[in-house]
Amino acid sequence: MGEVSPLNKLYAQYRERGFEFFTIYVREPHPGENYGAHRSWEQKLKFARDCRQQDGIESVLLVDDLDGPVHRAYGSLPNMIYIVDKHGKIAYKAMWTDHAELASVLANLKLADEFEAKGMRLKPSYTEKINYIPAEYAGGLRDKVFDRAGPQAWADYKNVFAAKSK
Amino acid sequence: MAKPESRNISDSYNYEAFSRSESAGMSGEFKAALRAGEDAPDFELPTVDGEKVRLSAFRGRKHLLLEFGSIT
Repeated sequence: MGEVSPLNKLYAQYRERGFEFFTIYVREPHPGENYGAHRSWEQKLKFARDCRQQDGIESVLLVDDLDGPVHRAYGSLPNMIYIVDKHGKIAYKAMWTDHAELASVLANLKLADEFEAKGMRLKPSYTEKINYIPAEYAGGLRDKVFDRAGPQAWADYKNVFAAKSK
Repeated sequence: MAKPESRNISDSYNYEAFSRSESAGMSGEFKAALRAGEDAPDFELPTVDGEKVRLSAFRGRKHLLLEFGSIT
C-alpha cells in the first residue's frame, strides 16, 4: 500500500481527538471462486484478515457474526457508513462513502465538543441529502473487488445487469 | 462456476451468488432501518484479533465511525 487511503487519513487526524473508527467485516456481497459465501466462523475470520491486508485497513476491524445481526440491524448494504456521536445517536448515515462529507461531519462533531467545553448550549439541526454518483463504481473499485472474488462474481453481476436492461 | 448442487440456497444471508433479488430493494431497507438522531443499535463484536468491543462502552467518551465492508 503505497499511498494512505482517504479514510486512513481521517483516522490519523481524529483518532486521538475523541474519535474511534471501526470497520465491520460482513458477508461477501459478490461471492466468487476465490472468496465465496461464508460457511464457518474460522473462514470468515480468515477472510477478514485478508480484507485488512488487501485494503490496508488501519481502523479497528470487527467481525460480525456469521448470520450478520449487526449488518442487518444497520440496513444490510455492503458499503454503508455511519457516524455515531458520543451520546450514542446516529449523526450521519450514507449508502456510500464520500470522504469530503465524512470530513465535514467529523469536523462538526469536534467543533461541537469545543463549544460544549466553553459552556455553549447546542441543538441538533436535521439534514437529509441525496448524492449523485457514477452507477458504475468509481475509481475501478468494481473491477478490483470482482477480480478478487473470481469469475463467478463477474458472471453473476452481468446476469443481473442484463436482466435489468431488458 | 459452481455446480448447482454445491450451492446452499438455505442460507439466504450468506448467499452463494449475487442475483437480481440481492441487487434490488436493499437501499429501501437501509433508508427505513435507522434515522439520524436515533439511538445507534448497541452491539458487542470481536475484533479480528479476538478482543471484544461494545458500542455503548464509548458513550459519553467518543464519537464513532462505523464503516461496513468486505473483500468482494
